[in-house]
Amino acid sequence: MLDTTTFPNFLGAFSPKWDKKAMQYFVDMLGASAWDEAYGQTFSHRWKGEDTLTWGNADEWILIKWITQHIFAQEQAQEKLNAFAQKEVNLRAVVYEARIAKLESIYTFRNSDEVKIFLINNNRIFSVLWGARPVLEEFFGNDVSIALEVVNDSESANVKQLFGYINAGTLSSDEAFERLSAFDEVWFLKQFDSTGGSFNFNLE
Amino acid sequence: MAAIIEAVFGRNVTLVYDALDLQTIDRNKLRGVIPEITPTVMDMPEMVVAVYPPSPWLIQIGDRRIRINVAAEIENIGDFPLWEYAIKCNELVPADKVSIIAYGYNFDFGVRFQDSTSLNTLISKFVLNRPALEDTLQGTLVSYLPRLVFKTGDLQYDIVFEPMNDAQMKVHGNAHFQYAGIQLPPIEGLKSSYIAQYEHLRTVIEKLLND
Repeated sequence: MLDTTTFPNFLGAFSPKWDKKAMQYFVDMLGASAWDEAYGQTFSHRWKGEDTLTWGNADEWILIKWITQHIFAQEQAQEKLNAFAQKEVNLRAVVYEARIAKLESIYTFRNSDEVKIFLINNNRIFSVLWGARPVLEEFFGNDVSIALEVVNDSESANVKQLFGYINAGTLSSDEAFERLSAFDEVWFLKQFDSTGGSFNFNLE
Repeated sequence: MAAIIEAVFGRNVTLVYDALDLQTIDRNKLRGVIPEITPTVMDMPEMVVAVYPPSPWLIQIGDRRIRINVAAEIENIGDFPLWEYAIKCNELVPADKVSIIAYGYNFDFGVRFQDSTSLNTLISKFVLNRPALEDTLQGTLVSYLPRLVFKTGDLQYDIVFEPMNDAQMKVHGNAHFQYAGIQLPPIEGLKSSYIAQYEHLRTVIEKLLND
């Protein structure tokens, strides 16, 4: 019977037949998240190409490399861990840049610098925006155009909010409003905790 | 048999939610998911990872998903209670606010070939007319990685064949449950479903490569 919780030789040469190191297994597991995932899929296969950062999400691969190095650096000296901590600060800047670039490919940014600063300061919105696009396409069509804009809260000038303005194209205003309400009901309201109320969609 | 599954490298249970706010995940409860081992919990942008060196466990939370992974190469499915930890991980998520929309299992199989090469086996099974294909390509087929996605009722399977060299191939198998009103089964149901899907995928892969 196998011990279900420990594997003492895990970091050793535990794969003589298949010649695979523990670090590679971690990359495999973490790498599954670096693929552009369909909305509900559980498929979890790591695709090749992590070193050239050309498959899946490049920014995710950067994170994965960092995490893997971090995991396997734990036995190293404290100064090395500090160096990793410093890398993390830089890493976040790189990752945010990559994520903003990704969002710019599916949304229009109005006053781009203002939107970017808002996103960096409210980074929980990244994943909501990334996940929202395919759902919005289900309601408004594949060609729907959405512009992101930072606006001042109507009740407090010091509070800013990000809005995604949906151009409903040829839809009548009643039809567009109905679809926006359905989108809110089916998907967006569920994301409220992630946005912290600082982000919303509206019709153009 | 020309192709034999001789190893399972990794396996996971993946839970997908309609929303998942990482800030609602209680890190202390996460530390207690796997008893008697204290993990290192790392907060990354949009991802929380719990690792347990030298144990082969890894829990990833992000992308609206929780993945409970085991990376340990053994001959068969092993006795890792992923179902138990999946249930515990599911309890980290505020049930009154978010719903599970899918769950599934993933297995990485290592296949060894005896009488044929991995590439030739795949080509003989899946390529109807190699000369015609190579004529179209105006080149010699060096590698071929088929991916089969198919459904049985509400259950969707995804199998990826990835030759490593002449004698070895990695095959990834995914069993995916997604339907309206889906709920994570209780612990015994999840365990039996996980084991049944492992057996099914293993059988299908062996048949595909041998029959």
